[in-house]
Amino acid sequence: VADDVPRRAAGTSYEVIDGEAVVIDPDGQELVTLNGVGTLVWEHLDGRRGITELVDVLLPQLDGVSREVLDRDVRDYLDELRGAGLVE
Amino acid sequence: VSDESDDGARAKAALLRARVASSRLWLRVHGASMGRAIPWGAEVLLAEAARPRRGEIWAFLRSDRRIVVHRYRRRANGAYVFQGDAKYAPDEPVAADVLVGRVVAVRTGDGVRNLSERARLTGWVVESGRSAARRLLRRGAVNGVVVEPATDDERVDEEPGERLATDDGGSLVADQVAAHGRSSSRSEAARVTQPAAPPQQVVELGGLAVGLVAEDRAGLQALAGVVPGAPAVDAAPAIEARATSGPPPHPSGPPDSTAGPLSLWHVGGDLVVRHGDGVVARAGGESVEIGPPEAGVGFRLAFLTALAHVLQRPDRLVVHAAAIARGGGARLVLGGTGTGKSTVAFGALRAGWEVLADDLVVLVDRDGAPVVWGVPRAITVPGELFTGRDVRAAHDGTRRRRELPPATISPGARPVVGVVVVDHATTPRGTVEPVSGHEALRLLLAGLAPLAARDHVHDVLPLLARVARLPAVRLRLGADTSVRVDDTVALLERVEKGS
Repeated sequence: VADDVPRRAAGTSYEVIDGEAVVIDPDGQELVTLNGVGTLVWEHLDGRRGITELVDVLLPQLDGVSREVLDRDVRDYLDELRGAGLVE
Repeated sequence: VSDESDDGARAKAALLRARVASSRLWLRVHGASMGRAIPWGAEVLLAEAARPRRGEIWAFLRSDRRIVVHRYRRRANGAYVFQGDAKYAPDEPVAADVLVGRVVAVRTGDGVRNLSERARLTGWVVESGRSAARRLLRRGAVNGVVVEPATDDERVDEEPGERLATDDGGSLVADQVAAHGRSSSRSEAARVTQPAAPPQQVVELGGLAVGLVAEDRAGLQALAGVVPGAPAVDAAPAIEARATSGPPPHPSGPPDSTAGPLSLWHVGGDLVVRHGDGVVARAGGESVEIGPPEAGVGFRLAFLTALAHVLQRPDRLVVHAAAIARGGGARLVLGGTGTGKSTVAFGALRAGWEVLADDLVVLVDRDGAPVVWGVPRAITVPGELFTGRDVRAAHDGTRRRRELPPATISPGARPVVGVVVVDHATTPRGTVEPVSGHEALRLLLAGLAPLAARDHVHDVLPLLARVARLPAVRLRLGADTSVRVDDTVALLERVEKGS
């Protein structure tokens, strides 16, 4: 899974308000609000980076987190977003 | 950590668990460690649960015997690790015997929110749910169009969003309605008995020319009387509203939804609205047909609801809101029925602002900036706010709402410069405080008239987000009605200075 290249699912739309994204799923059925960290990750899901590279980019932008923890959290988060149909 | 304090924490946890098991235990939360999931000052409802599951929010006792409400992350050597959503580092692991219970609901000034199953795992997903998006969908979500009634005793819906969760499906195409068309025998008959050109006039609503057509003068007056503030225009109508002497047919089956006295059906792309007093309106494409024409609240509610349906487009949104303007810029006043939009509008008039509408507005995107029109029905104000100088007619002593003259409504469009979320304070005097853009967006979504099709949900988000990013304040109206209007005038001054 290290080569997994996540991207925002086609047909999702989102808007960032006060640093937190509001995402609508492709069916227009789910409205999901992400917090600041979640939004930062979401905006980097452009389908050009694998998870390892994604963590490389995110790590310097976040305080107080180790690479291992961030890597695990990003994977958890992507699983959750996949479950909601927001990431493919 | 001494054994003594651990014992104390364990004892207190056991006591609290017993309370959770026997009653509904709400705790007030202080602190911001849960970010937007549990705002500062919110109350949380606890429920009994065996063991935390990953992503759930739980209350537990720290060794200093303070109750902490954080999200469960993982097990560590038999203990449980929790973490605040707004904290990157987890808490010290705690043992099972200091757990109190799972948070199942959060109560804020906006009401009670049941915690979504989806708001789990990392906590980076703050909130997730179908209901808000569903409000945008026509099917099963028609109540969003509900228009505030003119009298308290006819109140339609305490909270327009609340009843929208049910989705009854939309397969209620009744033959009776499917066979109905504009060239029905009723209109033919009407034409025979009224050989002269039917009375009509064209008015502007939401930037569109709307033709009002009736079989007689009374019918025209009934239509025009619903939107007395709409200016007459000399233009070809883009939308036609026709009053017929009898009610258009409505489906014989049960309604797709109801909202107070209104029953609503979806037939193809059309909306059929029937009021309990017998008025029926049918709206679809670019036309509304309604009958029988009368001056009552039933006609008014049915007509406005039908009108909202035809005015609504992905690029022209009809929103349950008041709009007040000063210095050329308008603020949308958001809040459910009964929260005080009309009171703010009334205070705004007193303070010298313009009022575009007190209940229903049309929002469009003009070159990247939101612009608003009012749907200019008469402003209706709670009776208890009136003093002698406002009412020349005898006060009927009830709490009924009173209509202000049409001249109090300002026509035309204004750029939107801010949002006011209106609410009631428990203190005699009201307050003004900042409010998040996300709350503004939630209220905009909740107050949005339904859209024609699912894919349009994506189309409306940019415009609503643009409004939600504007300066937003929460204006809580003072509880003392004897000074509420003057107090509101003072609060509006602060609103104006604040942004």
